Amino acid sequence: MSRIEKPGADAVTAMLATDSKPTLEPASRQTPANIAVWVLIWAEVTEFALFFMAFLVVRSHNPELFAEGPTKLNTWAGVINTLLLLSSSYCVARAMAAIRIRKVNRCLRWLGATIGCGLGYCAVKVWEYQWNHASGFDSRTDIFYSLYYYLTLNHLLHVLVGMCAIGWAGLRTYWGHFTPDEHEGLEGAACYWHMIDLVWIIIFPLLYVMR
Amino acid sequence: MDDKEKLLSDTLLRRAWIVLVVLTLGSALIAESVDPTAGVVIAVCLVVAIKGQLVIDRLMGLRHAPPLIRGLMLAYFYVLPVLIALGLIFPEQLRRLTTL
Repeated sequence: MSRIEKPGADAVTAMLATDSKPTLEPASRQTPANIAVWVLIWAEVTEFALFFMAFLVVRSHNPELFAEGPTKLNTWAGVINTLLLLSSSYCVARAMAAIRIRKVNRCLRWLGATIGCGLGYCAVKVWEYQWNHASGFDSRTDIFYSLYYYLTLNHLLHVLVGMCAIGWAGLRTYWGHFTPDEHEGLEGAACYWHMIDLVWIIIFPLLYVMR
Repeated sequence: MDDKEKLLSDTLLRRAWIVLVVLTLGSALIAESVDPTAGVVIAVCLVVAIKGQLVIDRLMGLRHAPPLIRGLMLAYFYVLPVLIALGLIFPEQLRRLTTL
């Protein structure tokens, strides 16, 4: 099935009518995606913020465990996962830029790369958990590991949900549901994916860097 | 949209991604080589805020979004790193505050 790579007649008419042109940047002063997506994103980041506060409080009551815990974690697994999530955010940003100029195939390739990074993240997480297990650590080792597993497993679940959202947005892109003027569904999935990356930006130093 | 504008936008996205990668590798280097003094904690929290702002403004594209949406997202990366830094630098005070 061949997909449109050039603006169609209706898009050209709309552009002329509004005296605008397709742009890689989102339209100014417009809320990207649906407001419901932002409510969901805010609920999610607030949930994680509460986890971070709980982590700090528990840390203050168990300084020895929390000074020793991060030194036993696999820092490189954390670094690789951070790079994968940052790259996935870059890929989804490129996908959004592509749909804004009606480059559907290019958009699909970048969405595929986003899911690829997500799969890479999951694979590294599995490897990290196996590495922990082989080193004799699990969620019941001590309170540091309980919180570490709770935070990272919770985040992993969000990555899986995000991959489903990006996959669904990719299918809808393939079916031609999105145009440069109307791509709210894709924008919502992209914003949700960026949220996952933003949360990890805080998890990484909190668990792996600060001792 | 002309090719020049497209190239500029692609370049800005790529630059933001490269800066994010460099900041992440810098944080990893700190994790592996330096004991976390108060200065290091503040530096790492600053890096978190910069990374957050880059993702929100450049990759997420909220630079020109309505102030409420952008402001709430940015606030997350201005307030949380400060709270984390305070919690890490003054754990004894936090422990006293949270002891029943």
